[in-house]
Amino acid sequence: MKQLRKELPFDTDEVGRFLPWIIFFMVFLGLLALAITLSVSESINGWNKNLSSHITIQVPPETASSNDLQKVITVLKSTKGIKKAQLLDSSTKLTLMEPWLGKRTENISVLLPEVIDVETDRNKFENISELKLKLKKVIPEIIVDDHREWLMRLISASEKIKAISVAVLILIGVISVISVMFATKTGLAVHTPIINLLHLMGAKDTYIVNLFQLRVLYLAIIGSLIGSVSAFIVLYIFKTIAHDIELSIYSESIGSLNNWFVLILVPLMAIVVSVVTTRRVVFRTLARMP
Amino acid sequence: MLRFENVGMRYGIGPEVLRDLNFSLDEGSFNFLTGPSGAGKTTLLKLMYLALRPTRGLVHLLGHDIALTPRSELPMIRRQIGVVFQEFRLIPHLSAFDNVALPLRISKEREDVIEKHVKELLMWVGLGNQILAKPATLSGGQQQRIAIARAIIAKPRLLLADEPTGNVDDNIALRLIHLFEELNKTGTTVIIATHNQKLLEKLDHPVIKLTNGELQILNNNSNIL
Repeated sequence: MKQLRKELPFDTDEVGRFLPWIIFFMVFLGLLALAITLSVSESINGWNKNLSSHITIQVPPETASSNDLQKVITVLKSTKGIKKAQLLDSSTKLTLMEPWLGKRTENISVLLPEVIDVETDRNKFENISELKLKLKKVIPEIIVDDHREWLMRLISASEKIKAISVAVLILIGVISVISVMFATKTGLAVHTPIINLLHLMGAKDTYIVNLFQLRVLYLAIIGSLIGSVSAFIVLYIFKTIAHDIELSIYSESIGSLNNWFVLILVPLMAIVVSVVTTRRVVFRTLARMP
Repeated sequence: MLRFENVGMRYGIGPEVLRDLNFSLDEGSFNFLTGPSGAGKTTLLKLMYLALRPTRGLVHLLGHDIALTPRSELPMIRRQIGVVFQEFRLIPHLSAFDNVALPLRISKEREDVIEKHVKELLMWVGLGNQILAKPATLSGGQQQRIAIARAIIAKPRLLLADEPTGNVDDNIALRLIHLFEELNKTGTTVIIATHNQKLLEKLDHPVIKLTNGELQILNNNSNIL
């Protein structure tokens, strides 16, 4: 059986207690930051895809005849870049009003506006102002809601949240690398007498580097596992709460399988970064020894 | 085997502790290195086992000009040198077995071969029943024998011992020297640093004498060679 390498008494130094905690926090915070980034990113894409191609047109009650409405539909259908223009029937409008009026709407006599759902081809449809002018000539009180206006403001805000999350992720990575560097340097300083002895017996730098590398690999796996399990528990709780309060920005996007694969990369990256950082620091330090 | 040419050594900006050393030792020779405390014996040994590089001059060791040898090749030279340190430098958390096995493990020897050789050698130095003992539980003499076993386990071409008889009585000192002589008979070049005058008088080996950083090579009758 291959002898377990134990030349350096790692159990006696503080690095063994310190490093798994660094990696735990790195993975835990990294996973949360990445989950936020992915959620915001997916939500933006979803809104962009679904809403930016729709325009809602409202005609206040008792301001237009069915003839005028038909003229509006005709204008819309003749406009370049409009794929579909559909006047919503009463039952569809009542369904849309359910959050406010509830399901039992048979006996409610509320005057609802006429609503036309317009689907556009984003590549061809450009000039909303021109369309508004044309429609106001038919019905002056007509209201044209272009979702793109508020969507762009929302996307802009979401992009900022995404940028902050990415910055936090990078910051976590940088701080972790620095922490691993200091932890490794401390370990090297503590074990210098034995390292010198191993050198004098003919140990190559790679022999000593491997001792540190194996140790850090072991500690990084422990820290990553605990950090991942903790983060996934927190994310699951968030997902459940988000689902319960119908916060689709979080609950839908985080559940996607692709996102879980991306999230699993965080602990793997933490292990790789820790091992590579340790390797580089030990090699550079040993190169200065005789 | 070993040649020093105009070698000088200083630590930092301090005075030279070794000055203009010129000497050579043949392969398979047995030499004592002596001199008063502070004469530079340990520094000279450190130059020989490549813990230090000279501040001037040339060191030729085991066929290599050390000044021209890249750092990456030093481990292979060091594996041919066994060192018994004055303070033993055993690794405290390792057993006697693992301490002695270290040079073989560094050389990536097979574990079954290591086990066989280490056990044999520990038996030979009288520590066959202490193979799992940690250095702290052993006496000074026992630790010294482990240090010697570690230095010779890989059958080095050059054996350097810094005051190996410093902590033992004259009888044990003599036995240790005989152990080194046995090793010398197998072709290992041996250099033993000591200021045990009785030992130098009893044994018929050349003596390298260091005084104030300068060197003389004497025969056993204290004549300059």
